[in-house]
Amino acid sequence: MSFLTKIAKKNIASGRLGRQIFGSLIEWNTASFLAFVFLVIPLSAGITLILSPGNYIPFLYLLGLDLAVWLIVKCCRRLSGVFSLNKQEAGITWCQIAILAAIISWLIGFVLIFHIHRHPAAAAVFGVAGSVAGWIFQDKLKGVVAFVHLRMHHLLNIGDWIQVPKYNADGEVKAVTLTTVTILNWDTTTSTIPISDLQSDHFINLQNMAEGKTYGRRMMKTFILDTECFHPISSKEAEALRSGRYEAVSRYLPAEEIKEGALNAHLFRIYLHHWLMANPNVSQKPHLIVRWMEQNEFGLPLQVYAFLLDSEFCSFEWVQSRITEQIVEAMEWFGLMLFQAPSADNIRIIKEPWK
Amino acid sequence: MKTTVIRERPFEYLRRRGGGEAFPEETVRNWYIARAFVLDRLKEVSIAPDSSGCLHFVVEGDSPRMLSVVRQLALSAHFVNFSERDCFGRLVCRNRTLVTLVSRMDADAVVAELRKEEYLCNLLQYCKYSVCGEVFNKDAYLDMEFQIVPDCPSGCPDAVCIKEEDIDSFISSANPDEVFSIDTRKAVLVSRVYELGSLIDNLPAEDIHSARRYILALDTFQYTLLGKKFTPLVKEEKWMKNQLAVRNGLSNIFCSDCFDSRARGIKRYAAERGVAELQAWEDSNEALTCSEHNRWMVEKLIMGFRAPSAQEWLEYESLYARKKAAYAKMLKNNADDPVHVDLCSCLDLRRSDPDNLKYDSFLLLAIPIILNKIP
Repeated sequence: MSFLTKIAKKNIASGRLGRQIFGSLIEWNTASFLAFVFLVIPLSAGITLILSPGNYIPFLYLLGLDLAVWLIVKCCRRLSGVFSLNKQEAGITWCQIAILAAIISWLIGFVLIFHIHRHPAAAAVFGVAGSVAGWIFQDKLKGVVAFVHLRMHHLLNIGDWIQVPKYNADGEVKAVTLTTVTILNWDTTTSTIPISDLQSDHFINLQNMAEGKTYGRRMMKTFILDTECFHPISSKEAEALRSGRYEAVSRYLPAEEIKEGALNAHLFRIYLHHWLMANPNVSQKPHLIVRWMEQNEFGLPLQVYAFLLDSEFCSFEWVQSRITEQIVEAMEWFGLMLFQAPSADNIRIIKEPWK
Repeated sequence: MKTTVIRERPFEYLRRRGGGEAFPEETVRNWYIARAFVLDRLKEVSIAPDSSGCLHFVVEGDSPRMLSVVRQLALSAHFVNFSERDCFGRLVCRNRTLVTLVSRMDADAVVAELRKEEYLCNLLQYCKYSVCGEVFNKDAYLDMEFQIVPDCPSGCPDAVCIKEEDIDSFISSANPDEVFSIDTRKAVLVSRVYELGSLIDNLPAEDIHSARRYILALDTFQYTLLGKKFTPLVKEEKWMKNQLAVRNGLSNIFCSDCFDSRARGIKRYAAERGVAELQAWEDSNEALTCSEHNRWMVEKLIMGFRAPSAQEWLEYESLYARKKAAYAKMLKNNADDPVHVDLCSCLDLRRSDPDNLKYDSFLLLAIPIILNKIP
């Protein structure tokens, strides 16, 4: 390990921007150096020969410009990788913007070095080449605009949980560059999505919700009740509900509601509303609704629309399932049943009277 | 680069669980002797990450000093290639370290003695052991196995035999300052590498056992973490007052004690395979990570931790995110009966908390760097 490399890495890891830039500039990268020597220098020489034959001064200017841009890109790419390791969002954004600025500066420098603006023919060729390049790389250019927009407004950060319906991507953002976003999906696959699509189409950022910075995560469950079971409760049923046999009913269903002739479905809905209101896992804001939906051929759907405080992925599903189980359990107390399409077993029962 | 040796005496500060009284002076003295002696004996041992077989020690005698040797063997002598399951997924528990304790005492009395806090504490509850042929915890997931026998076993040519006289002769030839104090420089670096694990929270989405996943961070940050000036492992007032700091400090020491034997194993592996040593460290990351997890478990059990009970585990499983972390912390900080939720087999840890393995991976990949700094 050379002394220079050691100094470079020590500075990169220092946590101070000035030292980090210095470190990344002096860090040796053989592949990058060879690319510069065998690709950039001959290309620059070739361009100079075409645009300014017999004059080596523009070549030197162009070489200087190439070197500056190469160093900026090298430095920013390196630092971007380091910033990504511990999610230094601002650092990543500025690195990408610096890369963009370097590319734009190169274009302006190129025009100025070869005085393209003073030669109509060259300007026309440059303009056409620019248009063609713009057309070819239109998605990339849109991506740059989208990157600036999304990052400047903090709409997309590394580690955010996002969903992109168009690409069926649902997971955590692992990397953001000028043109692409890499998402580690919950199914452990990886999606790489053009960042421009996040702006032109829509994506859902669930991070605030997952971190519990909102009222909660929405639970919307619909239970289709078999209307054959709907009936006014008898005095015996009213007595059973009042007796304290079901502790939750005694606690959450107002006693004055329990009277002979009251519809069992009505009592169940009121019980559910009060039970959810008192449930420590359920937020009463922004809405807590227990409502009947449109009657259909299967029965009368009862919808629970609530927000659960535990919004983290697994935690939410656990609490939601627990609530669902408790609702199903409570149905029996009120003599209600969920609708289920007839299966082989039900059909056998129907046949029996014909025997 | 030459560094000033910092020697500390951490065993003196260890208290019994629950912040109780200090251990007897004789016990502390035995720990130091056992540590120095066992580490010296382990210089002869090199287990490559693809070796198979058994690392066998025969400890002749049941004096407190010999029991301290048994304790130190459990802390430091681990077979790197311990495998819980075979390629068909069947539980096999191959390549363990076997410690045979020869004792004429009543077997139950020996077990009771070993279960004391100064020796193996909770370890015997979880690892495989046999008393005069009767086997307990047959399917244990730990890489240590103990045998208690009345007579010295015959027909074990590969076993490393340890007698009282060996220890006497070691003490007479050793420098007392090196025996009764510990050079904590490596342990200091271990604690700094652990810091790296907490600092880096966006590792590339790659196989958790792939060394490449950790190299970029380690390669860059090693110079700031490991280049800082050496300080004592734990500040003097913390050694005195903070048992958590004492236990963490000891944990770092026990961890760094295994570096040399691992490096020898890797050297052997590299020579056998004809690969560069750094490549060998990277290739062996998975085996080494599991071995480190096993070493860590043994250390925690000896330091008085236990695995969660079935009820505690059920409760832990039903919690998520911050509540889960808070519950685990609450169990861990119970001074009278500390519980660590990561005390489970390597395969189970891979299932329950795979990201936790990043600490072990960083540490193992940093071993050659640390040994290069402090030979």
